[in-house]
This record gives sequence, structure tokens and C-alpha cells, in this order.
Amino acid sequence: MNKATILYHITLGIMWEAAYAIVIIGIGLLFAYALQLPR
Amino acid sequence: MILKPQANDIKNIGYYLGRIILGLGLTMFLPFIAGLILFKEPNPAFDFLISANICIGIGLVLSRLCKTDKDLHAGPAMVVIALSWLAAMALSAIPLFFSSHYKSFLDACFETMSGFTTTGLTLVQDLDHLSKTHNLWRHLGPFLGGQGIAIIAISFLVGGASGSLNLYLGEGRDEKLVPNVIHTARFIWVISIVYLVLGTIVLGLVGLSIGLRSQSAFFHAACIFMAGFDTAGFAPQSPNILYYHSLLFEIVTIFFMVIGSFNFNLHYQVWTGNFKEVWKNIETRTLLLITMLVTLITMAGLKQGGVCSGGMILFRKGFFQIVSGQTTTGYMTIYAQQFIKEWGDLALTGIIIAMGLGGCACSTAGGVKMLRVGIIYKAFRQDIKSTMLSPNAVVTQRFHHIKTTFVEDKQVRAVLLVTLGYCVLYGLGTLVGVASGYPFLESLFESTSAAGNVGLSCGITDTGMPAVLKVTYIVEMWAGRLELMSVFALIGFLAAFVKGR
Repeated sequence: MNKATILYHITLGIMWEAAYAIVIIGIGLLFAYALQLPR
Repeated sequence: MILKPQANDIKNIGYYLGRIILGLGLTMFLPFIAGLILFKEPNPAFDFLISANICIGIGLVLSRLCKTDKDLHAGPAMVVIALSWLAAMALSAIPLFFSSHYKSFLDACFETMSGFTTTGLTLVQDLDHLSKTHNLWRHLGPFLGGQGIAIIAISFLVGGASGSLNLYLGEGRDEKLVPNVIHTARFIWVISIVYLVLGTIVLGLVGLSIGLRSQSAFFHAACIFMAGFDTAGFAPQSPNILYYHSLLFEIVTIFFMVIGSFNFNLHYQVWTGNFKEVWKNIETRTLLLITMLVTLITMAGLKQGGVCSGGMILFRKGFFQIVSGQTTTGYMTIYAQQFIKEWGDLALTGIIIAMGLGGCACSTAGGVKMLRVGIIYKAFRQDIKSTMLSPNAVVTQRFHHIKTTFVEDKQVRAVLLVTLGYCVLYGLGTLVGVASGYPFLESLFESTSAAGNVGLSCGITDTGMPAVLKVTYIVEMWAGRLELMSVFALIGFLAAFVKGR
């Protein structure tokens, strides 16, 4: 594998991992605001 | 009949221990150089020169006296690992003790064990006036210990494939990224260093945006990243993450805490093009589900107590602590006493569950680990299915972790044994806490935090706590980080030494 491919994979890999972390943050925001809804 | 360890075994242990101590001494030149050149703090820098010389001296003497060409077997390797963590704790505590910010040498040892095991409980006094050089060392501890003391040794100092593999396995990691263990160790460094550069830049820019001066912003960024990615929870200022009063800073920190709790094997897969592994892996799926569950429990508890009004406050004061506990980082955006005075039992229980279960296996995170939780769930499902179906039915369960595997009894037994070990560890620390006069739930919280290598504190961890509790937490952090097996190996070795023939 050449260097450009390695760099491409690492960049995309970090972005996929970031997507997971964003989902976790989204869950937190969703739950936090959902609990504020009037019953 | 127990066999007494032979002279060769002891020489072998001494040799590898010496090499690891030598490696530790060499790492002390980092804060020495940074202190002298970057921070212009010659006195603190010389604390590291003295300590480095002590380490190098001990390391050289041990490795020369015990010089051997024999490769290290699995049993002695575990003993080396268990001893090297104790040696690292004691020797790394020397420069911290010289700083005069620790009440006793035991407190400095507590700090270094907490750092190396990526726990984050702290006994430092007047942290806000601690020199940058000493502070850098506090944060380097989690970065070195998180990757693993053995990983440093394997990467740079120890030869011999079999010995290296046994050292690697002894540190509670049973997954190799690539077939060669030395390449595995080096790839773990590549992942950590790439993220270190990225994390320091991002957090540094956020620091600049909230008004920190440039040198301070990037120093804080490097420290917060090293302790965040390595799930330790140390911070350069005493109010921890609360010091920054910034939503953006908190979100970026959550981001790195989550990524830091990932399995290194998962990083490797994703970085080599297997992107979908992030969503298919049993660990990430379990982590997602458990996070949802504990978020529900904790937030319901907070809502019930009327503690945090408003969605954003609930997110910043509640969810941040949940992720911090779940990833076993230990960063806090509230004061320790608030857990007891404001949170209530239900919310505390949610955090305790999160801390006890922990992050992913083969990562810097502690606790039982998501892989084990996932396997236990699958085993339960298998048992329930087999009782519901006809006695002749063959019931199998599969799970995906890098590759798809069937759940096997042998594997479930190993998983349950380690899980039981963690539960006993949490319970023992709680017992000592209660015996020292602290309430049950607070003792359970602090014990789980120590044994799960988390670092969240409800206020028990303090310079004034009894010495017996400090020692208990040190043992819990050590045993929790090594996933108990190396500790049992050391106990077995000592028993064989005394009672063997």
C-alpha cells in the first residue's frame, strides 16, 4: 500500500470513529432534552 | 506439590524488570528537557534528572546482574508485569514527592499508580501551583501506562518474540493487531501519537477560542488529551474540566473520551479500511446500548431530584459525568461533593453501573469491559433459548468482534471468572471503605471508581483519608488495570517461593 492510500484510510477511519462519538453525544442531547418535555 | 522457582526464572524476571525500569528512567528525560528548555523551570527539571538517574542505575544493575539469553515464559512474564507496575509506581513517585505537593511518599505513590493505571484519582495538594514540569509528568503517566508499560519495553527495549508476546499478554491484553507482537506494540504507538497530535491541535484551538494564552492553551490541550484519550481524567487545574467553563471544550473532551475507550484492534481495523467494523462490532454495539441505559437511569435520577433543570444543564452536568464514567476517564464538570449532596441514590447507581462495566477490551479503559458484557449477554440468550426449545435442539450464538465467532463454554467461563474477580474487587474496596467509617453507597462509588480505573470521586479520595484506604485503592487500581491475572501470578510465584520444594 502506498502512503497516499494509508493516509486516506487513516483519515476516513478517524471520520468513522468520529461519527460514532457524535452518535453518543447525540444520545446524550436527545435524552437530556426528552426529559424536559412536559408530561 | 508446588515447585520452587529456579534461579534461572528469578534471573529472567530480574533481567526483564531491569529493562523496563531502564525504559522508565529514559522517559523521565522528557519532562527534564521540557522543564529546562520549554517551561524554564530548572529546579523541577532537576528532580527528574535525579529520578531518571536512580531508575537508570537500578535498571542497569538489575539487567547486568541478571543478564540472560533465555526467553521469558508466560508465568514469569506475568510476574515481571505485576512487579514492573509496582516498581514504576514507586520510582515515578520520586520526582512528584520532590515537588512538595504531596503530604507523604504514599500519596505520591497513589498519584503515580492512579496515573499509570489511567484511573485519575488524585491526592495532589495545591494543584493550581504545581510546576508545569511536574504536571507534565502527571499527564505523561497515563499516556505511557495507558498504552502499557510492557508496550514501551516491547517497542524499544526488549528483544525475543516469545518473551515480548508473554509480556504483552501479561498486561491484560489478549488481542494482537498484527501477527507480530512488536509490530502490534508499535502500531499502538502510531494510533496514540496520531491522535495526540490531532487532539492537541483541536483542544489547543478550543483553548485559544476561550481566552487561554497560546503556550498555556497547547500545554493544557496536550495534558487534557493525554489524560482524556488514555481515559485517566487528570487535569492541570484543580476544578478539572469545570475550569474551562466551555460547552465546546466539554464536547471535544467527550469526543476523545469515547474514541479513547475503543479497542486498539478496532482502531487498526477501521484505519486499514474496514470502516463498518465501528458499527458491527459487539463492543461498540454494547457500549451504545449500555450508554443509553445508564443515561436513562442517571438522568431519571437527576430529574427526580430536581438537580439539573434544563436540557443543556442536564447534558453538561449529567451526561458528561455518564460518558466520563462509562469510558472510565473520570473527568468532571461538577465538584466531587455534588455527587453526594445533590445527585441522589438513583443517579449515583447509574454512574456506578457505568463505571463498573467500563469501556472496550484491549484499550486504555478499565472495568469489566464491553466485550465481556456482550459475551455474557449472548451466553444468557443461548441458555434461555436452549431451555425454551426441545432438549435435542442445538442452540448456538454468534457475535462479531473483528471476525464472527460462536460463543463457546470455555470462553464464557473465562469471561465470567474475570467479571467475578472485578465484582469481588469492587466489594472488597467497599468493605474497607465502610470499615473506615464512610457510608455504603459512597464507599461503593469510590471503590468501583478505583478498581474500574475510572477516577470519578465523590469526595472520599482526599489526603486526609486513612492510609489503609489509600493502600486498598492502590491495590485495586493495580489489580484492575492488570485484569487480576498478573496479580494472581505474582501471588502464586511468591507462594511457590516460600512453600515450594
